[in-house]
Amino acid sequence: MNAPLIWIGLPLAVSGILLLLRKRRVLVIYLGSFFSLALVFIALVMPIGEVMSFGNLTVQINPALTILGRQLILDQADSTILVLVYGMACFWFFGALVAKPPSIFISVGLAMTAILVAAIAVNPFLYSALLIEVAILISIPLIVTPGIASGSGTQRYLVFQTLGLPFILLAGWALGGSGANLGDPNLVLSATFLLGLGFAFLLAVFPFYSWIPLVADEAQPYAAGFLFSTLPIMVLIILLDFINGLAIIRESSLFFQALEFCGILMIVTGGIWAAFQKNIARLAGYTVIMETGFFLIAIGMKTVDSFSFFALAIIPRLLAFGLIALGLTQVKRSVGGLDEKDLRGLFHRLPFSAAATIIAFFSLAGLPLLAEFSLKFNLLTMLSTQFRGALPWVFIGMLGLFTAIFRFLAIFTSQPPEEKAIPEPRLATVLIIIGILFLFLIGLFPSFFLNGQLQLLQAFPTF
Amino acid sequence: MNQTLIPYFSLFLILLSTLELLVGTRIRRMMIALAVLYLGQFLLLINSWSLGLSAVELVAGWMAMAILLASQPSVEPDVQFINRQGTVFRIVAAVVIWLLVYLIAPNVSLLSSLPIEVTWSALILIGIGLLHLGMTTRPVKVIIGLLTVLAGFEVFYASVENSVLVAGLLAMVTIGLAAVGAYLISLPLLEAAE
Repeated sequence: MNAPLIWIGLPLAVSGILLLLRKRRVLVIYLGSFFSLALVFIALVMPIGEVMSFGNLTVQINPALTILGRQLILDQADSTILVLVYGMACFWFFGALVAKPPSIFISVGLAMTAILVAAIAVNPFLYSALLIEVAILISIPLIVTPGIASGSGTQRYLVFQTLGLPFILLAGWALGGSGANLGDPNLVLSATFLLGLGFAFLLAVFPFYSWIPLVADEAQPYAAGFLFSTLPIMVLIILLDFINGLAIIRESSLFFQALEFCGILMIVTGGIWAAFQKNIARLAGYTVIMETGFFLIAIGMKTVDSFSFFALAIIPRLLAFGLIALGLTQVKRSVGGLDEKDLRGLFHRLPFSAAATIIAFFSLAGLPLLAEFSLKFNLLTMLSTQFRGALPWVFIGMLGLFTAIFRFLAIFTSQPPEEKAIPEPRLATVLIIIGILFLFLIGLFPSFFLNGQLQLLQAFPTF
Repeated sequence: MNQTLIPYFSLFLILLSTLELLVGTRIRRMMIALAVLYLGQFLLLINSWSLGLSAVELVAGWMAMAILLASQPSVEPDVQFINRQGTVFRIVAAVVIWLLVYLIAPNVSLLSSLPIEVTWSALILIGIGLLHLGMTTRPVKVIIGLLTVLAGFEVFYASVENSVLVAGLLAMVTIGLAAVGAYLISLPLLEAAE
């Protein structure tokens, strides 16, 4: 057996089969969810590269696969990444039972996940950019609606993500040309700049993030939630993989300072724009921008604790975006829109969806007792010791986000145009209650729930 | 044809085709221009890549053009999207890009070790492609803009990387972009199945 075949080849084949079965929505959702869960289970119990005996049967998962002279490598250090990635896929696929996203959601989502795993596994790294581009192209049907012309958000998403490709390819050439040493400072500077610009496009770093709120507004909330929670995390993991493998980048303080600066800029601008949003889906888009900003600050600080923030924050972020996506899907389906005027008195009409949305937003903003509070508190404490001048700017951004959330809370609790409560699906209610419960439990016992995630850093041994 | 004249001939093809793509409104003429653009790119690529590898890019480009053309509605709407002032503005913008390219090409040529006439063509493709992306919201024009930028980038990249796999993946991205473009163009006509 071969690891790239199990975690890349097989999911691609299954996604093709699920595409053919897409008319049988429930079956496809169950197949996609359980298949992803099976991949998580295999990653947990089968050590890659080691011989395992089951009675007379011996099994070994080979970490490398060679295709046309290039290698796909998934070793034991990557197993936590595989658990995380396919766990995220399972989370989103199972929620599709309630959210009812486009019928191709599961097959496209699985194919996208497999290609992004291939982007992590491929060696040499410059092929990652090409594979990410393929994943972007595949993701387009997720965020458009048949029968309705594509909006400017989809087009900007395609343009900005595609423009990242040339820069990363050129950076790959420059780094290869310099022999991965510090011999030619000009070439190293050029390569660092090109790589930074390439990832700025892929991660939607300021000022290339205008597509995020637009896509959040145009796309079905659940599909947008999947895209926003999966793509940035995968691209950040690929970025960490680059940094881990390239001494030139790892030793460049300029690169990390630029990451930190970009992160602060994203939090400030995202927070300020968030404060003025009248559409809650767009607010979710700005929250995505701010979250990426926090991750960039964590990576830019380049300490063990700050890298730990990256690993620990993935699950609470996933849970919060899942709740927002589920809540907003129910709201949009029931009231027809996500503008302020549609959301008046939402607590009276759709109490569970409204609660899920508001609590998840508060969790992302770092409200005490909720999942991200302790993580953000620790990160900002570290930031205050390393770069004191940045703190007021981060607070301005967070203040903007809190202002927006409290404004929407006031709208949700205001008198509704009609008192009638709208029935919410029972499964949706159960999932929402479990999600909210976990946001509080993680907030109260962060170490117990999240410390397992620190194994993610094993994939990047130089940190 | 004299070998030294080929880059100038391809520059001429690229200038003509990018100008038509920028100011054109008729889809069929734009698609012919796109085919000419890829022919110009092919003539530049054979300086760096083998004939076979360059031909892969040419075929991929023409396939992309065919996919975009096939996705158009059977009856071309007789609508002029750009008025005369718009056309003049676009031509002036293109001239500004040409001037910029003329000014920065010597430095870029030095960095990339490409002949100056090849650098002109590559930079014009990238510049006009970016101009396209900044001026339009029509899906077909956005895709043409992206394909133009990528065509220019491939000319540069061919001089530093001659891997068959990279060339193949870039060709796949070109066709994939066209397929996404075709999907976006035909999206309003698709049945709302959900």
